[in-house]
Amino acid sequence: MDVPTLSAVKMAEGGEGWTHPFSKRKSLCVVTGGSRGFGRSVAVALAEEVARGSHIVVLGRNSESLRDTEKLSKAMSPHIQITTLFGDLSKCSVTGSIFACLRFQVDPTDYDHALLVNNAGSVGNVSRRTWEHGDPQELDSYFNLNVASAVSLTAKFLEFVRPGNLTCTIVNVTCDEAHRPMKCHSLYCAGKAAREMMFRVMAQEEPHLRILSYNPGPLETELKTTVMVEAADAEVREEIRRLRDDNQLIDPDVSARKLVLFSQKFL
Amino acid sequence: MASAGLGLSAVFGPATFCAVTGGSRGLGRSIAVLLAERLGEGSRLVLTGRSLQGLQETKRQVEEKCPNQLEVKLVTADMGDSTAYPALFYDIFADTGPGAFQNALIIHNAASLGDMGKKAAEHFDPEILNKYYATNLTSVIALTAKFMEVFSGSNVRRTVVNISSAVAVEPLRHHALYSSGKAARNMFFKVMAEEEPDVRVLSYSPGPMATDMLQTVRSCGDKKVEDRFNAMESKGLILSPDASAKHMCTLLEEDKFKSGAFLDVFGRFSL
Repeated sequence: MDVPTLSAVKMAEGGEGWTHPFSKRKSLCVVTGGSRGFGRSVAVALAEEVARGSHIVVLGRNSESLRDTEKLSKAMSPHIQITTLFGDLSKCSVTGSIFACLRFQVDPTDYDHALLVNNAGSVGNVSRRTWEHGDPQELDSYFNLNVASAVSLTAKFLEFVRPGNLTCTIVNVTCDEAHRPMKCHSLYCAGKAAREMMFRVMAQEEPHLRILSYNPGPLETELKTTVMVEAADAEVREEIRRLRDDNQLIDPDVSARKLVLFSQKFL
Repeated sequence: MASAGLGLSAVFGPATFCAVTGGSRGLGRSIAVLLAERLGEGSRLVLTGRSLQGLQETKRQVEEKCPNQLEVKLVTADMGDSTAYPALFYDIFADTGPGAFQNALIIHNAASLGDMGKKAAEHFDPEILNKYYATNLTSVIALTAKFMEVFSGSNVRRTVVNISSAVAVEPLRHHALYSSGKAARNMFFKVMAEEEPDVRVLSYSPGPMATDMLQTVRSCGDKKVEDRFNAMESKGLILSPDASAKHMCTLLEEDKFKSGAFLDVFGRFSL
């Protein structure tokens, strides 16, 4: 079974009278890159939908911003637990320490469902052309954050929740650039392509898992602003500017709600 | 423009610098021996690999077949050790001053499979994943950057070949690392082709070949994978590396491919 890749712009809303399966099940959710942007929106969208007694764990690199994500999520529902964990996934030791830490706070047998949203990532240095990426340490660090950490985190997450015998959903946040080459985005394209393929292999090997690669669409976030300002190629900068000026950048909250909606269709 | 008779072309003509990674056996060896016959006067063939013995055997075969005096340089290298890149790249590109070559060709063939015993969901250790991507992805990107730096300027015709695989686009059990690495490389080189229209960029899927690598794949312990290759063998679809190398060389010599294309030896896809 191949992994569905969905685009926010193509998804339909659930019809009238449709109930949200999330509201019936206690979920343990982990969201990476949750300090800001799409990750924050996902955490908040989940908080709105998950059942009483659920637990959302948000991982991020900025403690202050994580606290804001926590506040916004808690405002959605006082009946769920929110845990924020500060960690930089570009460092190898972090994936191990996340679950070492959670083991003291979370018992997977308390939940019905587990969801991991692999969102953390970076666009790389867009002021560099393909042939200017000559620093192997920078490249290793990039692929560590954007590929290796997502894979090892997923493996550790599945191992962590195994005692609970829960249904598991794994989300890989992807983008057009996983398939569409874009100037100045050589590392981003490569990393996203690697991730998508990794999760497609995982889907073949683990038919009991629900694995989804979700393309949130071009979002109105800092990532796009960075590209608009710093990309080496004028056409690339102009494309983002045009999307912004034509109101075609998607609100991350809207896209996050669609992701949550679709994740539930798997249940 | 192709020259008649001797099989020399704009890609492999006189004064071509040609580097082939993973040249100590398998497809790399076949490519080296085949290309050597086509490289014109003043050309240099640089072979990298982990086994000096293997490289020396490739060199012996090159010198046996090659009618011209071709300079062959051997560089032992472990692509997984990024601290060694400066010395390695220095050795590969030594004595390539301006005007030394009219054509420059690099074939990124060196590759490893990673631990086929692990399923994707069993890759707990990011260090092992990182080591894999360092060997199969970072090294290729950094080496390409150096190649472009050494042969900068419009007076050298540059060609970059990424030896890829069908699993770059078709997921296959037990190939999590290999297929994700190849998928990444394909996209990287597509972006390169967009950014550098003066460089000929080709990703080539060589098909299943009778090499040590295929042996490893076929003994990975997964029945579905074994069945797949057994079926291919019974249909005569396991190629000799020489046959696949020949097809690749033909693509380069005809020079009709769209830069950045991903082409398969059997024409199963053209992406």
